[in-house]
Amino acid sequence: MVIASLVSVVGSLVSVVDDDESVRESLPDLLRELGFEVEAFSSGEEFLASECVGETKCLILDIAMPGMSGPDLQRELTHRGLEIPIVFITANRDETVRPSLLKQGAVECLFKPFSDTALLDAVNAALRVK
Amino acid sequence: METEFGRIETVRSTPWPTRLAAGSAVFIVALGLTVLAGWFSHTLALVQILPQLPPMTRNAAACFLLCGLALLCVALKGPRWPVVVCAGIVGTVSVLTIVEDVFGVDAGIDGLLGPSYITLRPSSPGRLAPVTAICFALASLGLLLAPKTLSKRSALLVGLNGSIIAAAGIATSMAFALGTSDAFGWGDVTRTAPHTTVGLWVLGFGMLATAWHVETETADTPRWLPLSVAIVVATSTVGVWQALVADGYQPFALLPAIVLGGGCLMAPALGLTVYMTQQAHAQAAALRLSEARKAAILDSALDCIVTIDHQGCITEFNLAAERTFGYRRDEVMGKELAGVVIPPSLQDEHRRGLARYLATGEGRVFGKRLEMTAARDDGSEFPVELAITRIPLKGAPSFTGYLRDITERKQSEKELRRSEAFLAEAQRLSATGSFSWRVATDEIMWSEQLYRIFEFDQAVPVTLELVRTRTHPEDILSMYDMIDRARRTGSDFEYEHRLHMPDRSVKYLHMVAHGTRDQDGRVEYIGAVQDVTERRLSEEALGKVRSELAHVARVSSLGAMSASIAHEVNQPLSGIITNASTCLRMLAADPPNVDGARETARRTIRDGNRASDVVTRLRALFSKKNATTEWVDLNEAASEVIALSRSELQRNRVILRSELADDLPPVTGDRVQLQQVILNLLLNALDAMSGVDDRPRQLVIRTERDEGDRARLTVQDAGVGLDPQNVERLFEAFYTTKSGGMGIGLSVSRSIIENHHGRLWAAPNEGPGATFSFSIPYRPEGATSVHSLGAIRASDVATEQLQVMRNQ
Repeated sequence: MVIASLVSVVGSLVSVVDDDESVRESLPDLLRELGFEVEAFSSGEEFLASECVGETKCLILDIAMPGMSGPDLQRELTHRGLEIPIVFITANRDETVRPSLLKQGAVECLFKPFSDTALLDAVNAALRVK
Repeated sequence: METEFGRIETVRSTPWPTRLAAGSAVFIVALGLTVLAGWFSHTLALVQILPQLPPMTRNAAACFLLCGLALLCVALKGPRWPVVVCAGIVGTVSVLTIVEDVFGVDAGIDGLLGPSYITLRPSSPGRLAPVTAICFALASLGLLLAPKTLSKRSALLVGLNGSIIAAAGIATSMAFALGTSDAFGWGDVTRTAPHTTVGLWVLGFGMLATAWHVETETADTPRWLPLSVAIVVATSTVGVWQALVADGYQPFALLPAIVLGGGCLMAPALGLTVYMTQQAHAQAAALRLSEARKAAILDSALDCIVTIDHQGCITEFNLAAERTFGYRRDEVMGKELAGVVIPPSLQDEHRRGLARYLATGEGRVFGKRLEMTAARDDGSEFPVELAITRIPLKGAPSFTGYLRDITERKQSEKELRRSEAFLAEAQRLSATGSFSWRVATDEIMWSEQLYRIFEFDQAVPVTLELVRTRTHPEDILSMYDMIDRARRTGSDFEYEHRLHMPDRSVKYLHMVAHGTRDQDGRVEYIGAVQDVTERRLSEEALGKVRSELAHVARVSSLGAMSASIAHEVNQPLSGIITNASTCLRMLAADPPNVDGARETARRTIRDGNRASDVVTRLRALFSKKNATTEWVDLNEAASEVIALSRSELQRNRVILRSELADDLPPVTGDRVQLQQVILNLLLNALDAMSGVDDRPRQLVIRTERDEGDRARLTVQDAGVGLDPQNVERLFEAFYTTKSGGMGIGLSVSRSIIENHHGRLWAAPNEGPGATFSFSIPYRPEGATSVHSLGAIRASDVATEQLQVMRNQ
């Protein structure tokens, strides 16, 4: 049971959506080191078009992106009836944004730069929601 | 006027008395010459006329000759000396003859001119008859005493003497006509010759005419005429009576008695009659003169003069009335006034008023200046000014009206009222009052609106003291400063100050005054004062909103910029930290994932560089080189800033004195940036003085040469001053002593000045306030680049301030 749940955790697919290339390079590597399966997308549209939408157990989502923004994608997923736990990340340290995002169902909101432990806690919290 | 008319009368009168006098004189001269010629040529007919008649003596003929010459001289206003000589001889001869007759002596004058070879009577042949002698004595007396220009008194003498002589002549002539030669003759003395009698009355009338001529200058006939008539009648009566008696009548027989009695009654009666006639003539003449005067006065009067009788009919209508009303005098004389000059609507009222006055004696219109409407002959009506008097005579009353056409005056009064109302309304609508101020006497005149603005009663005389009582306490110093300057220079001024009203409200006034000088060089200001309270209050509100907005904009743009910088830096930082964390985990794995760690380390370096690039880009963004270098005249630059700040200075009630050096060479630099520094110093000075109310808010901007080929600009205020310990901190960014300040102005200013290779410093004044100065070289050595983050940001901020002030 414990192992099964562990496997389920280890085998969980975490998707990263960020327009910044360095994030798309660095964050998947770290998440893989932490034991997660990772897919990275440069935009919300790309993520929605992929086959990973249904598989994703946790979505790490940048707020400010050209085109569809993070909250836009969140609304779109809700609209499609997909309840994927979301961890928002942003380079704008705007404390006022965080409570409203959490209120709308986000698991966590991390301000860049964030530590690996903060990231792990957030992803674990997201997986526990499921 | 009297002499005027008198002179006209004289000129018009025919000089017949003069001609008569001269004619008489010529006649008796001819008579004398003729008889003398008869004597010398023994032509008896010339001497005697008829053999039984008495001859004219040689002496009588000579006396006629001399009297004629003397009379001629008097009548023609000739020289005086022939009169004296001739009349003198005549007088001597006649008086001596009388003496001979009276005392029975022989003076030896009877045969002076030759023997009398005709003897009708036994006594003294050749002697003058007594009546002839008396006549010549009177004649010589009259002629001798008559001055060249006859006075009334001498004329009386000449006239009366003439009357007696004429009367004697007439009486003796009448005696001859009655058949006797004895008129005025007695005993056996010489009788008067008939042609002597004629000569005597001609001489008498000649003298009368001479005297007449003088007397007519004031009256138609001589004053002495009645007396003269009485004398003539009496003399003639006595002569005729005496002739009758000599002819054989008893002295008081019927005929002589009738002649004497009738003559004695006739003489005073005729004299009185003549006197009465004279009086009547004189009165008539006076009346004519008075009428002529009245007519002249009436016709030359500028006002219309119309007189009416008690029935309201016109009895007088002068030339001015003809001109004004358009009627001719003879058209309206006797017509009822109401139908002529009074408009139909007022005719009944006029008739009622006249009837009431006649019935009750109650006159409401006398002795007052009235304004009424009158009508012309064409029916057009016009306003008149009118005064009515009752002519103070007995009997039925009559009235005189003095009228003046006041159409033009009414028109100009109306226009004046209209223009005044127009001005007053314009002043009320624009809340603008006007005033005049004579500087020498401090006489001040205010328009109604200005009284309303100051909320004073219009009866109160305006003085500077009165103005001062309303002036806001904080503005009184600058008001006196303004008054002083106006007194000194007389030049135009523009000024803003506040009023402190009794209800503690504050009014803002904007004043513009133009100085004029009269002929004596005295200054008078004419000015307008506008109540700009509402505008000022809304400007202040607007200014406050604007500055709040500017502050908000500045703060939010700073916030936006820092957020943007943070975002740009956080992105690579995030990458660095994530990669470094991954790297550590890869190295910590068993076995360590060295290749992966190498890859993540490489990415860490890449993101580090990326962060560094961001910072470099930011620096580049802020150090854009858009400053220009040109020749800048600091005086001009300062003057422009002062001009831009004028209203700001006035609003803060700051008295600015600029002392700009004439010989200041231009400096090299960025004109706009230097003006921003000057503006910044000026605004700082204003802020420093905003709480100062106990002394004038004096601000001095001074330019001068500084040592080492530098120009220096100084801004000296009378504000709160500086804490000497913090002087240098003033120039640090974000250090401020002002509640609303950002604290970047002075630091930016200093960096601008330093980019111009100059120096900006501050020092406390010896008195109150502080002095900020900068000094820059005329030619910066090898400096063309003006680069500083502060300079550019400051230029933006200051440009914004300039903009804000322009918009105000």
